[in-house]
Amino acid sequence: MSASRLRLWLAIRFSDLPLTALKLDDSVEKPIVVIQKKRVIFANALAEKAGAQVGMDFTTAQLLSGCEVVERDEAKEQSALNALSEQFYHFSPYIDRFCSDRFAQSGLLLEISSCLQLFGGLKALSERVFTHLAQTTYGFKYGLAHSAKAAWYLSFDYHEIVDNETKSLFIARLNKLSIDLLFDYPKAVDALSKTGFKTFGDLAKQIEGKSISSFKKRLGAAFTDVLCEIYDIDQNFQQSSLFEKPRDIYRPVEWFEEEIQFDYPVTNVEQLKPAFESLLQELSNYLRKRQQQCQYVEWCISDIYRKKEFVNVNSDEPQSHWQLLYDLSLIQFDNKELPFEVDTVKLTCHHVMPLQTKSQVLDFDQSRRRKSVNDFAVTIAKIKARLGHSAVYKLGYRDSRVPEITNAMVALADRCNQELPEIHLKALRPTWLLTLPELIDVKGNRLYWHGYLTTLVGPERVIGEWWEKPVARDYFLAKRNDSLPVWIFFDLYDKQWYIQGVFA
Amino acid sequence: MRYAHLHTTTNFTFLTGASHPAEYIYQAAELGYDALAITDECSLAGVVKAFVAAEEIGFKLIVGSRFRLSNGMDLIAIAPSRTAYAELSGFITLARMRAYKGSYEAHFEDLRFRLRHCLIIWIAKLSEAISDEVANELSNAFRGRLWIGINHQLHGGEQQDFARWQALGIEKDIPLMACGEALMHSAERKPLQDILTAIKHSTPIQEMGTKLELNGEAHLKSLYQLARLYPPELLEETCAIADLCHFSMLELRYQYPKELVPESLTPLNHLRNLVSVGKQQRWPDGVADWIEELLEKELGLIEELEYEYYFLTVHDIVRFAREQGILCQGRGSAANSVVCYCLFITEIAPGQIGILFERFISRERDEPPDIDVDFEHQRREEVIQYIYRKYGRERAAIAAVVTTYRSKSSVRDVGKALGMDESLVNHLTKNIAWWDDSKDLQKRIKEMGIKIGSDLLNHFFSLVQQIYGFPRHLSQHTGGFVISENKISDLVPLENASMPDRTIIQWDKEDLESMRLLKVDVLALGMLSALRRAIESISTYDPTIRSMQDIPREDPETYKMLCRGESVGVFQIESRAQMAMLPRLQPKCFYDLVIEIAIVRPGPIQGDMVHPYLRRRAGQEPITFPSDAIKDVLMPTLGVPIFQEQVMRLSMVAAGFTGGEADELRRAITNWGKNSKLLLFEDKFKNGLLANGYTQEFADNLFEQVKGFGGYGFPESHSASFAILCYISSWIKRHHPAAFYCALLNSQPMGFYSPAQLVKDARHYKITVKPVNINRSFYENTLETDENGNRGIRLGFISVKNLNKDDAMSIEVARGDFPFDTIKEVAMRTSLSDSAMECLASSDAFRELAGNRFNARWQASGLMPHSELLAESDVDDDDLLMSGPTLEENVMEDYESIGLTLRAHPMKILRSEVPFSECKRFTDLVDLRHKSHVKIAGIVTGKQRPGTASGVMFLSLEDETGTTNVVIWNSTQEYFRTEILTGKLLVIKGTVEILTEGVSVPVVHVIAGHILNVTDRLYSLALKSRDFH
Repeated sequence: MSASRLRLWLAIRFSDLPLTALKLDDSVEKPIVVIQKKRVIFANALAEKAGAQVGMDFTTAQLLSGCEVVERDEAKEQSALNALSEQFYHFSPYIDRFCSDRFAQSGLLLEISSCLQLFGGLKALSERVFTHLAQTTYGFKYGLAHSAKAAWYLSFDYHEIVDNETKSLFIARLNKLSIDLLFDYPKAVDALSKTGFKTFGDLAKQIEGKSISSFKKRLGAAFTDVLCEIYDIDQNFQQSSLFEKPRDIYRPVEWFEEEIQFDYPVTNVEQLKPAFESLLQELSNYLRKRQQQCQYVEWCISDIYRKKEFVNVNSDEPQSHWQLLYDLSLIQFDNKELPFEVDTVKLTCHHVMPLQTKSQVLDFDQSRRRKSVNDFAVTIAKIKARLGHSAVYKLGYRDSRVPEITNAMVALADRCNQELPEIHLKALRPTWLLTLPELIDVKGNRLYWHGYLTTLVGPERVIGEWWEKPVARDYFLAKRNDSLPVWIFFDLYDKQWYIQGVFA
Repeated sequence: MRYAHLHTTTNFTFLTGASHPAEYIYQAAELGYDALAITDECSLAGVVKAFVAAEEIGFKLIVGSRFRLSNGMDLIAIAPSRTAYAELSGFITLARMRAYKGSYEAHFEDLRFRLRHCLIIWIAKLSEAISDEVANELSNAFRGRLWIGINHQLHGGEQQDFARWQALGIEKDIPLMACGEALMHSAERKPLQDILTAIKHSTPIQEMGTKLELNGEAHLKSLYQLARLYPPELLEETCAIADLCHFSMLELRYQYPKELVPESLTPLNHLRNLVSVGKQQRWPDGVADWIEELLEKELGLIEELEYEYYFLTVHDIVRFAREQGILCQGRGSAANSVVCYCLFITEIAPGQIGILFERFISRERDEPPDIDVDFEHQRREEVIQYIYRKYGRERAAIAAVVTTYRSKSSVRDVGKALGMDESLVNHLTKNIAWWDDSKDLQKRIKEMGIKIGSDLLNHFFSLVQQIYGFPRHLSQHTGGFVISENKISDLVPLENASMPDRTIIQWDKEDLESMRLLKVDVLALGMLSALRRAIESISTYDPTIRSMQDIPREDPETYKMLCRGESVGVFQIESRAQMAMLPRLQPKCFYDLVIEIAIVRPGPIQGDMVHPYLRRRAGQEPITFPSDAIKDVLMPTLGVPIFQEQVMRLSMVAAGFTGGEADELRRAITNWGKNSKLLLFEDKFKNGLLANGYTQEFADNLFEQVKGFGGYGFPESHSASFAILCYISSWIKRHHPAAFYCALLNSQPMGFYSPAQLVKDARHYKITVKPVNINRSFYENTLETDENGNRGIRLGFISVKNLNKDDAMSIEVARGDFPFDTIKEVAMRTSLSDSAMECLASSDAFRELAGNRFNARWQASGLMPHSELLAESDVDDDDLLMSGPTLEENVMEDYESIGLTLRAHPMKILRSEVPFSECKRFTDLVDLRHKSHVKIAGIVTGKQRPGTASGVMFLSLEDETGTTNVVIWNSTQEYFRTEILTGKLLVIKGTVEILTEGVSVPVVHVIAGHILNVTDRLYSLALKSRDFH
């Protein structure tokens, strides 16, 4: 045993991350469970006290504890881990992440051997780390050991950190742990428990007494590698530590942020254009060098008194070239009066993505096509700029027997159903449906809607939606006295006539 | 105005029609229709039910079926005559047999050439493209018997479309007729019809959109409504079609297979010959006159009603089974006749019980005789294959069972279809116990505190009630065979069952009865397998016992054992309730067993017959009879009516019923609760008694007792057949217990008790049960004699979970006479798979080779793929350094791997811990004061809730010393519902009741008051809970 003698790992396990990552206001005051695929993956103390358990069907948990149920958001957990990694970067550049495949357990692993001197020893460093963590909302457990895996498993067993921590101490602590903690390897745990292994110590005893190959042939190389990492075992005496590649240094997340300060106060958009162009070209260079694209940029204009205004620019397709983003930015600003005399303009691009290299089709019309896509994007952007984001929709079809609820307004980016069912081919349906049916007057026994109506064909009876708001109607094709064909119905519940639509 | 409705989809077009066939008939009659055709899609499954309803009210039923052809065309075929009916039935069979279970495939060409006598309605579909070619073809193929059916459902565009079809009709000379489809008998069923459609599409109703029916017009309409929808000539045409239909279901005459009779003989002569041969074997010393007389009477009736072929068919099947050494026994009213005794169909000798001739075959009702034949459950398939071989698949088919919606399935399907949360529906389904009826549902939901919109919940309740009892699909009957002389498909359509190479007919048992068709029940009975095995084992060491006939009759030691209530594993009397009854009834002879089997049933219990009988038997109450006539009937049962036959006899001797009327009364009793006519007999029954001089009070009391039999009354003929097997199994248990338990264990699954309970009981009788051993076990459990000559049981590989039979047999073969020395050797000599080796290691079968199961698993998992070169090498030195399993671990692993343990009982291990240390053991109970407070704990080994009115539940709670019978009253069940439903290990506080009077051993039970579920303690024996903090 021995390979990386000098290494020291601190594992920080965020035991309540599924809940804390959601940043709920009152998560400690009431029973809450976090669920994934309808199973409870985390229960807070109150929920647990009331009987909710991890792995339980959420309805059972709800019935047992009356708890609130929230859906797990893995993206938020990852972003919380990102933010925490940023913060720990102050302590060590060597940061790994551990996320269990089977249980909602995740955390960060910090290699701290090279930072001890800088922070005044292990105890001082760990105290600073824990003090920092105490200021966050995340609950945590920690473990300290000679390897990342060992530290992770020791985070399930509390030990106070002292200055003279040694590997033998870590091994002694590890040996007491239950093999159930290897829950990411369920088959191996099952096989081991069926052969009498209960603790890590039992595994160590077998390895020492016989050899690691006993496990390798029974449980496979992947699991054996984990054991080797935990116990720092050099398999096959290859002295792999000599050839070990240096540890990756943690790289904080990068983003683009550049600004231009003007020599004079800028009062109209026209004067901003060169700055926009220049900054976007810089962004373009930045992206190209990194083989990246972006879809979203943020402009911030400010005056000398630090007044600020932000403008977001979105493109439907990811971009690495500056031109479209420039056009879209101008559309956004075209519509604006500058609110103050601008001193600085800053361009920020937080979210980038790897360049999607598309195979190039031999197409002589490519440039034209790209142009039309860009034109469409510019048009949409113009409409959005004029009317606002929330004003742009697509029309979709919602399958229902009740005409007024068949029209669905779908956000531009969402998918929608535009296939009409067979009934529209068989039965008479108008081209224009009113948003809601309008009441028809009855004047002297005749139907009147902007003119007298005469029924021509019908009835077509529609009965349904009994489970929500029952509908029972007799539809007729009718003609107005100016020959306009309309679609009307007699409501069998309220005994009134309505107009539903108009034929083209 | 006249009208016949010819387009009806019942709920036998599964998940489409929303009304029962009978509902349509009653509604059509009420609306004043001339006739109604049932036209389910490619099916005649609902026709008999409609026929029964139509006969009842004298309404004209027309038989038809609707088809969607492969070319997209929808047609209805109507059977106007018997020939057309056979064509239709054959066509449905053809279309169904081509496709997987539940679907069909019909082509226009088939229709054209196979339906030469059926009337055809071409359903005019909205906007259907009509090709001139198709119209010509149809009109040529079905000239003079083709109509265009106008289906007016108030859909958009129908009026314009009508003109198109009208023009076509004129052009091609095809008359038009009104053909509005009915999917429900009344418009109120629209929500249910929508729900059925949603279930069919597995889509919540909210997302169904236009897949649902546009409106609720597909129902039977009033003549006024019809007159507003269709021109008069279209309505008139429906009656013109109906007038052409002369076929009645009554014409379906059954033809028995004739090949069983030699050409030179008449069927009766052949039957007489066989009976004569059998008679000589049964009574070698000559037959008593009264038996000869009875025999002649039976044969005379058989001849009169032409049932010779039926008896010959059953005889042939039984003969085959006997030749193959398959144990079998007939039962039922006809089975216990002298004819059947002579044909060796039954073992009940004449005089052994009082057979009622009217139940033998009912002359008045001309209904087929009833013989059920039980075969060994593990060999019944051989008998089935024989029937198929002999008669062919065209002439032999199994009856269907209509699977209907029950509480759980209704809740699950309606809940899902209403878009209720899936896990809530699952939760609801799980928490509906088998003893709940649908009315309890509302209460359960309230209890669970579930909040759902009240409208949706109201719909849910109402729809669950409506769908309850709706047919869901057809499946295979347990063994009811229909065999005929000609093609069965001329009588009833056949279709594929889910089991490969199995065909079923579209009618169920009730339909067959209604149509008076012959059915032979080829049933499976686990006890017969067990008895054959036991007798085979016994014959290896006691040559005097080679068959059931060799078992001594009326053995006092056997009855003594039963009087002590020791009946675990014994046929029919092994339930907790039966075991409690035995010491009170004190059976001393065969007929006592016949009574014992019949008395512990809801009928006698509800009719309050048990206590009077027991009191009279114990001499605590005088045995009196109101008249000599009644004395003759009730003498064998001490004046208390216990059997169905006695009720029939009473109705005849005291109330003046004819034999046929008495049999009708029996049928009404049997069908009690299912539209029974029992109450229609009340006046006649009571008046008859009064007319014969009995008092009003007596008449009222007797009829109450008759009602008590409703649905649960047990016939003496069945009870007697069961009593034979009951006696034989008791005798074997008493005199050859090792062979008895060994045979039971090999015949699992069967009976009330799990292998663990059987082994426990066997050990109670000091029988040594030895563990599975790689060097000593065989596939089945075997008898093993120790050095003192005592016979014990060696568990076989059959007990090892997940080890298949082939693997187990390969061990026997590979082992031969040379035991294995190491696990590696086992693997090399047997070539067992890794998983099979793992199963054996888990079952501790390698204990002799490896010491314990940890070591065994370690060694088995370390075996490398076998290589000849390395066969002799033993380079791996990787012994396991862990110590062996603890007792607790071994016990839990025993249960997991072989379902039982031969080590300590889990309760023994837990006994030292609180709260178990504070609990009384089973053996302590008898020393307590009657009615004293008690706390007990144990593993739940059985739950029973007999269908008696009181709703009591009996729970068997097993500890290391025995099994306590716990009685849970209704209110306690309600309160501790979850504990009872989910608990495997319970602590129960209650009152002990000890009955000592009139019994040979005290009867002890505990009335539960408080129930605590401590199942988690059972798991903690071996497993620590996984907890992450």
